Amino acid sequence: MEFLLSGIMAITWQQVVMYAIGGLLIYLAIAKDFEPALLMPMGFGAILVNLPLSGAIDQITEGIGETHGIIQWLFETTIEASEALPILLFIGIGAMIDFGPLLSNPKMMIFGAAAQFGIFFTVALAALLGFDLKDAASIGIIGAADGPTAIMVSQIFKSKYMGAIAVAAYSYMALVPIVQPAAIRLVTTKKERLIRMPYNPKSVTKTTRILFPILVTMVAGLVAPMSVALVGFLMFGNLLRECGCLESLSKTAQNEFANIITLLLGITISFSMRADQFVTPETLLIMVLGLVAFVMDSIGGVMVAKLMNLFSKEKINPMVGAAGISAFPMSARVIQKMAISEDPQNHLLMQAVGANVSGQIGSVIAGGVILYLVPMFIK
Amino acid sequence: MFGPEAIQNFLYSLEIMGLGMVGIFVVMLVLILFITVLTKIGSGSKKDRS
Repeated sequence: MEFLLSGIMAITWQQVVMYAIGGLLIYLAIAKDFEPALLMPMGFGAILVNLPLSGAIDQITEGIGETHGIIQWLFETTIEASEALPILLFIGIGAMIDFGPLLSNPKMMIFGAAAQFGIFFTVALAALLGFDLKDAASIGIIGAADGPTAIMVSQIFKSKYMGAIAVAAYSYMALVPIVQPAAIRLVTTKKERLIRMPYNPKSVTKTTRILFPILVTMVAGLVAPMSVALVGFLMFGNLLRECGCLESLSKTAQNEFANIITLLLGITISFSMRADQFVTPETLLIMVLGLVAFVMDSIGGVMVAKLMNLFSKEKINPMVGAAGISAFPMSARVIQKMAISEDPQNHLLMQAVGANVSGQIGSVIAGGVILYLVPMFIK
Repeated sequence: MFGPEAIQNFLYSLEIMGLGMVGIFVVMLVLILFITVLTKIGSGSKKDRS
């Protein structure tokens, strides 16, 4: 009967740590509603792949030879070989986003660029702390506040920290309502937070809505070619939404398609949460660096808004700048909540939504830019 | 940590920061320009959706 104990005897302390982490992710997803669609499958997957001799990953069994595990197969085919899952998810995301508030107030796009500062700041910090340039870039991309982009960039750079990067990216996205207010208060005065921004939306024609995704794809593709898979699929989803003749496909992309991809992405990414790779001091450091990335994103957006106020007649509430991160729609909601807590009559939601959706574009362009630039500096 | 290689990578990353931020801002500014032109052209025609 010894074989019944073989699994228990093979458990390592690192695997026990992973069961605790898996349990924590499941708890956060269920009890705290922290990105449940991703953290719950990731938490369960973390337990699944860390069971000794787990059949969910490839094993070499005496007398049989190599057996293949479903999670490893999913990872190797849908993430490692093609980055298919994170890229496909962008079709669903694109179909969900209404770029109307951005199109009626295009200067909000500046914040979609400014709030990517945390990515580059964190790349520099990670490099200084001793991570090689590819790993530093993979860690920095947590600041894209965009799980699929973080997974894709870290996969292309073959970072061994992909599991920790994915956990950090999704965890901090869920923590935006806690992280952003603290970061914004750090660099704004009460007077600045009270600035009102009248909302005078311009009409947006259907032609503009249809041309927008095509133009974004072409411009981003020409300037940052590596971003074209990400931007292209995001904008393809948006074109499905806006074209007006594919309502059924648009609804499928927004619901069933996005749900299936999300489900598979969560459980598949857990392959990178194997104890031998995940339970390291670097994982803790990556969690800290991820927090720095989110804080610096917010600060970057706020500082550019303040800079624009020096030259602009119509003042911008600097908090709106922080909404330029990709975490949609949490960030816009956070800014609205902060605005009405300072002044119940100050409604910034639509302006913040404009900045927030531009953050979606900014983050995928940032991912492409990182993929293009980093190899140029690696000898 | 803070070794010669880390310092070298840090210097590279500063360069990446400069080029990257400029790149993203350029893309966004070009898009703002396009949207403004599209809106101007569209404002002359029927506003079929607001």
